[in-house]
Amino acid sequence: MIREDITSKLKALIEEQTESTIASADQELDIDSFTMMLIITFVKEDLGVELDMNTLDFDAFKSLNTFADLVLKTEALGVQ
Amino acid sequence: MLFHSFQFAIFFAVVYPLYLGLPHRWQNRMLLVASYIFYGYWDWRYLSLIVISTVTDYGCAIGIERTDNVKHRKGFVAISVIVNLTLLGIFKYYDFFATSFHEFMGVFGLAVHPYILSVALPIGISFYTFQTMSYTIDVYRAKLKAAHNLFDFALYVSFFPQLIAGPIERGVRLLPQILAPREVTLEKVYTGAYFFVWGLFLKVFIADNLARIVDPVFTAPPPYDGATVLLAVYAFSFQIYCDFAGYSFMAIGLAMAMGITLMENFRRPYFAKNIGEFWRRWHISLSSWFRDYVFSPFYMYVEKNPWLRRLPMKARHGVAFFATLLITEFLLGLWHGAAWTFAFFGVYHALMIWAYYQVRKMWDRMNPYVQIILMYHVACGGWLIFRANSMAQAGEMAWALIFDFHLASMLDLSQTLTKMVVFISLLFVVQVFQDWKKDTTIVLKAPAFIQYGFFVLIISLVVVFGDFDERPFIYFQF
Repeated sequence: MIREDITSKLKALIEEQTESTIASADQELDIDSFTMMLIITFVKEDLGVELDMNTLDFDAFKSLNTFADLVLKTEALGVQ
Repeated sequence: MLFHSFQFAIFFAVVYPLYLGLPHRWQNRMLLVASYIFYGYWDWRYLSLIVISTVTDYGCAIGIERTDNVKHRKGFVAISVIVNLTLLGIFKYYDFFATSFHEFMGVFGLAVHPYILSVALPIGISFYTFQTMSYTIDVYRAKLKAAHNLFDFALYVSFFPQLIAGPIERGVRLLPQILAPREVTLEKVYTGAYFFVWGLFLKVFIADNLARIVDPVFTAPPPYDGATVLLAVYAFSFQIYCDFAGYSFMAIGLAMAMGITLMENFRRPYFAKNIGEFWRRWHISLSSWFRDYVFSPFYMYVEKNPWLRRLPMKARHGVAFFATLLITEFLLGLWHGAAWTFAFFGVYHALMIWAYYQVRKMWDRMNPYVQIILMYHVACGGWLIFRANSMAQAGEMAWALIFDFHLASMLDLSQTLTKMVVFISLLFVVQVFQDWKKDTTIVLKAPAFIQYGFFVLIISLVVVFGDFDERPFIYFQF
């Protein structure tokens, strides 16, 4: 999986959900828990990566890039 | 020992010079003794509960660290959760559930007489048990290493500025600051003094004076007048904010003067544009605690439900989210106290969050100032339930608000309204600037004459108009 793929899919999901525009992958996001949980479900369903709630750091939701880092790291560790 | 009491002034006047004069290791020992004296001043017998919670979580965390066996690791987490919840259950909730059970059975004509403990609520028990549980869970989640010095860990649990009413600090943030030597600079002392004086102003000038408006309304018997109830709820919304945020600011200030940074617990919640944002600004240490340790794991559990798996992703997410939310908010409400009003306060917020997501697209398109005003009134609805002495009273007051509201009564209450506006006007002005610059310490970035003028003004208001009846902080009962 490549970073751009993850960020573009997440961008589309968040923009649709919050009716906002994300200018860049480093833009700070202000996401509520409803959207956070939707993203977690989406990542599992669409990208096939199940995030470990025991180690999940909510700071990862700071931007598209920080969240992509988390997904790539989880995928590399094989926690699926 | 309240922060705004004479006893605390003497206590801190002894502790602080000692703290500054001691090397790091002895600072921690002295702070531990001071924290136990601070707590024991209320009731020394309840120190035993802090010690039980401390020793249990100290041992459980080390146990988790020493084994790779998943079952054993989970077992240690279970011991921590069971011990802490048992303490809470016995001392905070047992009598409530026993009485509720008695009343419930009475509905069916069955007489049961459960044993009632009638023990006084140990002050701050909900805060320190949640803090110690989060520590053990974080060690289990490998976010933190176990503390190996019992005295340092005991200080993490009982650090006196935040022991009684938070912020509920995570081990990840506070423990490293306890373990490493701290630096006390003039800047930290000055900023700490600002936080303390600001918190004192919120508590003694605003909250305690507003209590004089609120209390008579809620202690009066029905029938109620809608306008009076409305003013009382408005006043209570600021009373509870200033009371609790005031305590948090004082705690942050005291800790900062000792070189320790505590987390921000309130970020101008009445400037929130929607209910989700409100909970990201109100009692942040508690709402994030519930998010991390209750809501998120439970959401994942519900979401895996085989029946839900048949639904499309968004529908599944919606059902799992609101089911989890309802339970989490119910528990969060009950955390505040052993009464059905608190439980319904939580359920009310869950329903409001649900309602928000139903109208989100429309709501978010509204003018931001309209959103803030509407959100403030949604919060006030919750405060009515929260402050009421029973659900029956909450219902009667809500009824009066809707069906017995006369504008003419508002004119009769104009003096009370004026008083209220006077009390909160300075808070409002300061918070407008704080929120505009997104900086709680904005006053300290102003030119020196504004800073000094600010200090002189709020200290004068506290001294001249402050209520020093030593009214306890509302959140002490939690």
